[in-house]
Amino acid sequence: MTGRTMTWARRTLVAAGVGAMAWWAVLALTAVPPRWWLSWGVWLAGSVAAHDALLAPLVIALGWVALVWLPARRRRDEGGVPTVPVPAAVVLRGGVLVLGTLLLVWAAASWSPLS
Amino acid sequence: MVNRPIRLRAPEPEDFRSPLHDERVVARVGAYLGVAVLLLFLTGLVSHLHQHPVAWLPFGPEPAWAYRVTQGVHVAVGFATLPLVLAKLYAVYPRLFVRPPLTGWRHALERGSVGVLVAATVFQVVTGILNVFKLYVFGFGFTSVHWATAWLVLGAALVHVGVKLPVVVRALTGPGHGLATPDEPTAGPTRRGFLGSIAVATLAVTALTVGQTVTPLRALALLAPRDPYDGPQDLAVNKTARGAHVEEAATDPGWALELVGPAGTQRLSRADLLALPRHEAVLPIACVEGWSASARWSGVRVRDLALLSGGRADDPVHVVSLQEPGTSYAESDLPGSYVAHDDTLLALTLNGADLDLDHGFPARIIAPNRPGVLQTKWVGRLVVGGAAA
Repeated sequence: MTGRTMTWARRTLVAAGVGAMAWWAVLALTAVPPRWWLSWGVWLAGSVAAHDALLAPLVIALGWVALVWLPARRRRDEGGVPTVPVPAAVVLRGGVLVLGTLLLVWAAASWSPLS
Repeated sequence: MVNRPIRLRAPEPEDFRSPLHDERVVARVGAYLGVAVLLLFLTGLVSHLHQHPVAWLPFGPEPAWAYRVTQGVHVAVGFATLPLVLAKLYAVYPRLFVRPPLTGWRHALERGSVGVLVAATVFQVVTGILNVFKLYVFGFGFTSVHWATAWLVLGAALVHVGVKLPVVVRALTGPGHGLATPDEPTAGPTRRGFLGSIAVATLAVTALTVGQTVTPLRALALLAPRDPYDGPQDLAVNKTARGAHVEEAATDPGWALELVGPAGTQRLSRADLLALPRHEAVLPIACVEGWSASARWSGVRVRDLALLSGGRADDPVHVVSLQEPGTSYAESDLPGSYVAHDDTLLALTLNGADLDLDHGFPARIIAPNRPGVLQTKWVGRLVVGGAAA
């Protein structure tokens, strides 16, 4: 992609994006009753806060414990094992992602009035 | 051995050394997520336009399965987006700790747009899944807020891609764009493994939920909120007669359909309707919440009722249910193309027996390629053509 094409592609994308967000603002003002705005804002901010302040640190901490701290302890105690082998680390990370996803959906399912 | 004191401090991007935070991983997961966002927006747009039709893009009754497919895709991709969002946020998490937090107005705009994108995307996925499970804990009406926020997600995603386009192009096509790097022997397998894990998580959550609309996979649908064939007359029910407060009115022996048309107003009892020429059709109920199932319906063609009322076979028809006026989905409109279709019925039976009360007894609308919420149950009045105005 040439520099000129890149510039125009970026401008087009940003302009379209700003247009879509402007339409969101129109819809927010005309199609959503004002009495819902507060809880809408709380859920918008709350969902990202729940991820950044709770879920992500938990996953990072789990990863550090499983992939850094525990292997370091084993290395010290057993005087040998270098780190978690790559395949095991991949399986651990993948397992957390798969189980975490299913756990979140299961939590919603188990609280559902349909269950 | 020296005991070093532990110093608590805010992390910095350099503290996160995993190759999973590499821009090649971020760009790939972002591309998958971008495709998902686009699919969700387009299929959501279809559903919105069915419920809020516009003259410049009318939907017709053919193909009969179209809404079932688009809404099934919408909900299935919505579930599949959950692991994609989690993976993307994990991959970019170190960027949250960039120092200094803001270096100028451009940087502030860039970070602000990312904040909006993350908030709106997580919001849509979370509230969408809660809606499918009927967990209305958010304090606002789902449909209009979900629709409005979809534009925010689309806009913020387009701005984000526009801002990051050089990085995306470099990460996906530039030198060393592959996931394996010769000087980092473990990084390639780790990155590929991470992408593989995302694929497994996406497939797993899809496989365990999609059976609510792909009925051959029903046995696998362990996390799906509904079995589409679990209900009276082997068909699921979204809104019961009790929930709609119509039990008394719908079972009143004096019930008669009020048919309003150019020739005036007529009242047709259920016996009158059963005496009219009847037609049978196998049509799906396709719910906005993603489940769908086909069933065998029989009843009077709506176009025959339109003609009986003195109107034309392709006059639009306004449908009014026995629910309290103002209740959501208590009324609906059948455009002329639907009225004229062979399979658009005022249904009186389901799978060979009288409609169950929860399926809309004494009469309900069933039409091809139409959201379930517009297949109005417990019909009390039909207003044909100009009489609708």
